[in-house]
Amino acid sequence: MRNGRRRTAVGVVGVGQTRYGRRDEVSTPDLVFEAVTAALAHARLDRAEIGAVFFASAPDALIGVNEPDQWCAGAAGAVGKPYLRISTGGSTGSSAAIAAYYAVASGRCEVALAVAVERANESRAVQLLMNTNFDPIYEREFAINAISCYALATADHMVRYGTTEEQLAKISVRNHRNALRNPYAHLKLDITVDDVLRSRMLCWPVKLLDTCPRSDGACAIVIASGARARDLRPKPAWVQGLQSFSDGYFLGDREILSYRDHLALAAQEAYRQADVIDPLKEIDVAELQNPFTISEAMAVEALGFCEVGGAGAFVDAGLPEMAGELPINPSGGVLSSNPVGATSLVRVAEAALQVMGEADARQVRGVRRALAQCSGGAIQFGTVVILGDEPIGG
Amino acid sequence: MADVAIVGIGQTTYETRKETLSLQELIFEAASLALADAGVRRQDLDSVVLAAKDLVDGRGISNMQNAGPAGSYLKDEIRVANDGLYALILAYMQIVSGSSNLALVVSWSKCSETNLDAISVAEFEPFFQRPVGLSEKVALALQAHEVLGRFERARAAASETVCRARAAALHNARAHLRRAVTRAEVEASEPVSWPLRQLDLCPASDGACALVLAARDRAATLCPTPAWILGVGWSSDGYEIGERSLSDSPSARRAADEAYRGASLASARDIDVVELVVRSSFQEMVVLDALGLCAAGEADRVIVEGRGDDGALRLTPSGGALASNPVSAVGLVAAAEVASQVMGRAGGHQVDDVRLGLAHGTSGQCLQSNGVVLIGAER
Repeated sequence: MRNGRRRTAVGVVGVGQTRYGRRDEVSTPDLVFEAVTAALAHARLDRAEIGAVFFASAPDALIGVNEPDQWCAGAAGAVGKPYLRISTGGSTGSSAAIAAYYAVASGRCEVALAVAVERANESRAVQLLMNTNFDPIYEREFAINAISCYALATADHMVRYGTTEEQLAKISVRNHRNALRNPYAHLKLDITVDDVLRSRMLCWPVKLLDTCPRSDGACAIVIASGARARDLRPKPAWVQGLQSFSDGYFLGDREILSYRDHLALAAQEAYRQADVIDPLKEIDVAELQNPFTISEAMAVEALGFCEVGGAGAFVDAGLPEMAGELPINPSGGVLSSNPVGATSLVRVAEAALQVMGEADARQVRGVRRALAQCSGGAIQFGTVVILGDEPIGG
Repeated sequence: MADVAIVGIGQTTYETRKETLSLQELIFEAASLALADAGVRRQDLDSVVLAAKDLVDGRGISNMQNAGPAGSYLKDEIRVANDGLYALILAYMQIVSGSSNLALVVSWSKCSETNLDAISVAEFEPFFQRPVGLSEKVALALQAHEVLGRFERARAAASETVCRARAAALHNARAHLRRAVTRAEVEASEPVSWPLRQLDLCPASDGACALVLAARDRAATLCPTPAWILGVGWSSDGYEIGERSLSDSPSARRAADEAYRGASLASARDIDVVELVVRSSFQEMVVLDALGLCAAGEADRVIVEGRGDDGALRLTPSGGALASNPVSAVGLVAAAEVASQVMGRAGGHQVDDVRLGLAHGTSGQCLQSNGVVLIGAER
């Protein structure tokens, strides 16, 4: 519908996930194969029916093989097919889903597959690798990495809006509690606010339980054209809106370290595509990319679930609890499982399962519309995907 | 009927070392040139599609720092981590899907700041392949050996390919290696890994390339001579170089078939100009054969003697990757060159009467994955 053009009906018809965590018993291609096989089985499709494959993984150094898409071509079921790799940092998985959407919506193929993988456990120096994301001359020397970057954002939010460490701790407690019901989750922790507050300080004010683990794992989704989707599944998760935006690079160039610019813009555009006016009321469940507790707080504001600076009160009011007005991360989110390059595809996959009504023990009742939010770079890339139980335009 | 056209082209020159430009400035130069060429402002763009590789750029998530100079601040941006031609294909699908009306595609490499040989070793699987000492050069040599077995005059054809590329580059003001060489020089150049010699391989270049793509209605108003994208195709083969014939490229064949079908092309003989990307001179035979640009098994003869029909096919008039190799971007450069030819704006290396051209790109080792884009003057 962007630029006045109507989007064609496209739906998610299959989801496959591996167990996340330490997976020493399998190789990277094995993980890819596991997720792809599960997604094809879920969609009741044979590999031959896939028209194109989109591969995603985060910085190559995490997997330890340059251009891992080539290595995994066979495992991804991509031999003999159109195949390419998307790489946009933490939002890579969702970007691959968007690329698969383009392939189907453009009529290139009827059915496309997006698969994302990460092997974070084999990297003994993840934050050192993350440091290479930053400018080699001006920024690398300052020990900037994912943790210190989000620590700056946390401190900023606390000073600016009075957000407390307790409020952020509640985000961690809920995500981990939800993960107890997710068979794929990496960390299964039954913890209290005090546990979070007393956990080891990593980079003030970010503590160990404000952060995610590093997980091995893969996720795949199958996307199909309107006619094929209706054929394959009684209740596909229809793509109602999807949009990415990129922000500036230098942290110091941005007035405030937040999702306010790029993610808010992406959300506005996705809401416009999906005809959502009041997101808090019209979205039934959200899967947010929260590698840190502050990321979730920043996301709920940028997505318009509460006003800017209101994330603390939003959490205190219990709105994102499973029984609250807008359950957030029934899966346990990134705080419980973080297969880096696959993490954002997991958000889309979990949102799809919620719309399909197939999220098992983590299912929210009566979901008609689910939102997946993804982020990448150093608070730089934002993606919003809205899935619903009917295609745009009915 | 084409839905998408190239309406703006920006290329930097290609050089051994762009000492006075940072990578970001290099990218900015290509992006700015393309926007100016299309007569649009950055604000007019709906989307930006990038192609770059982290290890070549020497940083993780290379689009963090490089998306900005490529024009994507507060824009819809996505990055492909394959050859630049694949970014063009993704942008094409993005526009056809109705998600964008005006897209900027940018790709780059600053090879002078990296060690391509060392990076290539990391592309090989760590358990069985790395321990035997595989690198891109060794893999290309294995491939060249297979090509020698399939094509009787392979050595002569490979040398001729280098001579032609270098001769063509003399007319291309942006080309990196602008010195003609003789077959004898090629065959006497330093041995790299038998049967490859130094001149059989691509240089490592600094440079960037950008294209502006517009949806049908927009294209006609923006550009008097849009270069229409008439067909695209891309496909992958398996990873293990020991499991496939290296003297053939089924994925290139499939990519071409798909693109020809999309353009309703009866015969590859209707193509006036092609820009091929090869990583070694020996690959030229494999690619020509797989794209159906000569009779099967005749590539060596065609390269040495000419096609023998009307001789109208013009092969890589820019000099291609054997003359200029900004490694991640070479396929996008091929598309930029074909678009320039179709628009009649290729300057010193313009060839006559171009109505239809083919751009080729490749990713992975020994032509594992290939892309083909057909670009024409008429919709």
